[in-house]
Amino acid sequence: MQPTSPTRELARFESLFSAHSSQVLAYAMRRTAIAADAEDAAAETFTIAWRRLADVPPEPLPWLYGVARRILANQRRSSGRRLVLFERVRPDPDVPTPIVLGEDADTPAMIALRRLRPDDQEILRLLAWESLGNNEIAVVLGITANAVAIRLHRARQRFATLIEQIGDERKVKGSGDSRTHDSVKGTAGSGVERSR
Amino acid sequence: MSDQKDLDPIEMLRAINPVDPRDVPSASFARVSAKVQETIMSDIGNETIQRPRIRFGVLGLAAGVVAVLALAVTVGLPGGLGSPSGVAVVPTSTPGEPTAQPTDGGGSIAGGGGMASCLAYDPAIVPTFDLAFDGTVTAVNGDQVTFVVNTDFKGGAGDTITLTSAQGDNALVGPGIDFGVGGRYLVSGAGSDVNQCGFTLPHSDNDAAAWAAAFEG
Repeated sequence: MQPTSPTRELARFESLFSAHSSQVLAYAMRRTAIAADAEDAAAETFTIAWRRLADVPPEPLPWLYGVARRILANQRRSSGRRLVLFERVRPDPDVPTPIVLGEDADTPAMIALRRLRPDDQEILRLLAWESLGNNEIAVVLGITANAVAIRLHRARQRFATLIEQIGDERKVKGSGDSRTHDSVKGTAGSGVERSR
Repeated sequence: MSDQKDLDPIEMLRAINPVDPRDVPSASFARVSAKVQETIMSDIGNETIQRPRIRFGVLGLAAGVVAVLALAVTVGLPGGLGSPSGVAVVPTSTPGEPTAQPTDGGGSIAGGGGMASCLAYDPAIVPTFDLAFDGTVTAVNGDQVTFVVNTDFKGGAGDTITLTSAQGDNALVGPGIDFGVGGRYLVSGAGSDVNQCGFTLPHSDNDAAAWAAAFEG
């Protein structure tokens, strides 16, 4: 193993940041409602990467996502405590704050995603939004690839069923007002607009 | 809604991906860069303070170590953050040895641009790096730059080599190098990464001769 030097470390970190900072920031933005929180999470992720550079694997992106995921979870727990103090409302800290952006907010897929339990939400997002494979998702979540395959299979089934249900609900309620109050507002933490 | 049953649910989810990495707001990206840069400078400064002084006398390797420590100190100082009047720190050295002089970032070769000040370019340090060669750029793909190696000084670069080079605004330490296809450069590298801070530079006969002399010495 070659000895490290400040120059080598800086060069390696700079490459890491250059290659993956946009992806990590986008990952955080997809999971937070406030841009500043996403920026803090991304910055903290790379701070950890810098200080633990020796631990960063050759394929760093899933590792970075895994770090960012834990940082975001801590953020949510912290904000949950603030809400308890000031609003006497305690959201489940493990439920990622849904992202609501414009007209996509009440698409059947987005509503179905919000109705899923947190574990299902995250594994589907990692597949669809981060375009990760099973082995990479396993690194992010800290589970085996086999467990990912099983969870993914079940999550897809539940997601597809929910999408069908939402379609059926909209049929029943008619085409006049497909954006039902229950559909959009009846799920934890929804209705949050991103601020930039 | 019947068409929804025909769609792959994952494809439906993919279609509503709310943030594409290519669309990350530049202001957000800049704030993240600034925060990370601040941490790095702070860490490097603290680490350098804790390190014992290294004296020249162990040939070129020691010179390189001192040089990179000087780089670290320079980057770590508050004045080094893109400040034209950044405080220079001269590394420990003994008379007669090459002494690297930090610059204020305004030089044509070394310098920190908007991000950091750098150690002045000194060809005597180049042999301490993993890779050193005279190369011509044949392809640039994002941060991946492919060179045809004209002269291999160190590292057994082979006929062609592809290295990673931080570009432009993404460069955290020192200015990124805007490699152009067809351009000829004197390239030094650590691992698979191009060294910045002036230690990779456009080719000139004088600089190439200085590199050759450094390796001969």
